[in-house]
Amino acid sequence: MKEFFNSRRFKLLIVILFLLLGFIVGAARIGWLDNLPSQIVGVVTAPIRKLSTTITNSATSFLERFTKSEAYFLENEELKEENRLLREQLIEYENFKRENEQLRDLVGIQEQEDEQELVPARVINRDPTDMFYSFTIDQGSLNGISVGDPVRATNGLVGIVASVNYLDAKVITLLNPSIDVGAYAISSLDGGFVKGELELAEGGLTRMFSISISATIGTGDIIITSGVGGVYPKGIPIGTILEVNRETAGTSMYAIVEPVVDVTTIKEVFVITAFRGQGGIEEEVRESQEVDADGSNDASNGSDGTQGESGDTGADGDVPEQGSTP
Amino acid sequence: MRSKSLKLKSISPQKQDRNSMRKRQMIRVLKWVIYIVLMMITFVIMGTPGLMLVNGWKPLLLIPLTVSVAMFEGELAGGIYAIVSGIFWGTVSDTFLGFHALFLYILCVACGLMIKFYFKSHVLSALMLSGVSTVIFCLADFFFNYAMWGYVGREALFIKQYIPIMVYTILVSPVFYFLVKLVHTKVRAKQADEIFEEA
Repeated sequence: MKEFFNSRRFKLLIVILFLLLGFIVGAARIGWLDNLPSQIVGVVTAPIRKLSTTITNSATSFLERFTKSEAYFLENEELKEENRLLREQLIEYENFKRENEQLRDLVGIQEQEDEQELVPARVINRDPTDMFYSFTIDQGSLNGISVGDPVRATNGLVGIVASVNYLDAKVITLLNPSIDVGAYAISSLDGGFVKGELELAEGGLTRMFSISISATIGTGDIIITSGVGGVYPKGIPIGTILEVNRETAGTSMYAIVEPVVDVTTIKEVFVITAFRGQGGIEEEVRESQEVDADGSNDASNGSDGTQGESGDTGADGDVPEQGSTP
Repeated sequence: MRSKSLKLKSISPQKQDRNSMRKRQMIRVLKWVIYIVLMMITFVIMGTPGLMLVNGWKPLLLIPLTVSVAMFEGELAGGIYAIVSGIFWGTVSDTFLGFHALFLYILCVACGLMIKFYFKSHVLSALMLSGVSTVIFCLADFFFNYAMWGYVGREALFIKQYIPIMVYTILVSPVFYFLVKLVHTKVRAKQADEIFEEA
């Protein structure tokens, strides 16, 4: 053993260790060095990962037909009841919608279409030690995805793109503490922001902070994105409130939220590469200035166009509790 | 047939040496190609959502694989193999790049040296070394990613998530020991055949 410590082999092992440490420090300081291994590994393993995911998904969905039949039966019964309630709500909604349209016509406000450019993607990798359920998707910068793009499923928000390679991208979910989503409750219009917490992440839950002490938000309320800041589009469902409590300081409240999307098991998502209100107020101001510049001829059309634009800037405007939203 | 044997006889001993050397090198290269393919498959299996998932836990398959390679191939080759594996792992993880490479390198060099000086290459020693490596790796991962940041509920996370992951990893580690042993012994047998033929 003593001979080994004096040998060239031992010195070589130490040199490799220092080179590795140098690489770590270099990767932390130089962006491209940090990105290079991810790009290479992404390109090399992309086909195998896609194949493996396809095989696994097919096999698990086939097996689940037998193993989860009872759970599916119970879920079906619950969904039938939910469907009945939703149908009742739909009739009410249709009446409100018609009334709303009539009022809009009366006042002369044009409805803004909610435009989103979506890129469908599949989850191809999950790190077993990541307790916030981040994952890798099979679409990258070559498909137009960039860092900061919101990620959603058909029924609600999933998270945000944290890093991008040519053929894949890493997504952090709503359960992650480094995420901040401006949100408000549909029924009470109380605002706050959604941020993950380790304690809740294990159960697939998240938390809504900074709710005003006078808020009337309650259990069962559905919360959606506010669109404030221009990071997430407005109106994407986030989750349902499970409980509301006071913060220990007593100045505000927080709520435990069950996300609409189960991010712990999700297999397919959509990356929103462009949406109305993207980039926040600065972008909106720039856009409206451009509209003003080209659209002076529209002035004769009355306030419709410009009114609509400025009305839309108010992703914020639609959130009543502006002070409490981030 | 006769002309063929005449041709064989006409090859000089230096050329024969060179040929057999090249063959042995080819076998060695083939062995490392197999190890790299094995590592890529393991990496994909480890990351594929839903695969080998038991109650939300997945084993850290790259740890027993790299430890087994270090046991059979020595601390230097095993250490370099661990760095490559660690870089692969790091690319899909949220931790800083190099974390996995660094820890796997240190652990595999240590395991290679343990086999060289203290233990025999045996399934029990593989189980023990993989177990210790998994525990050290998980402790480091837990410390740098969760404990250090003071998250609420970190102790519960360690008990409910890390401990089952460690146990699961240790349980599957003999599979990798036998897999690497198979590759190693097959290649060794092939090399021995070459030397025998040469003699």
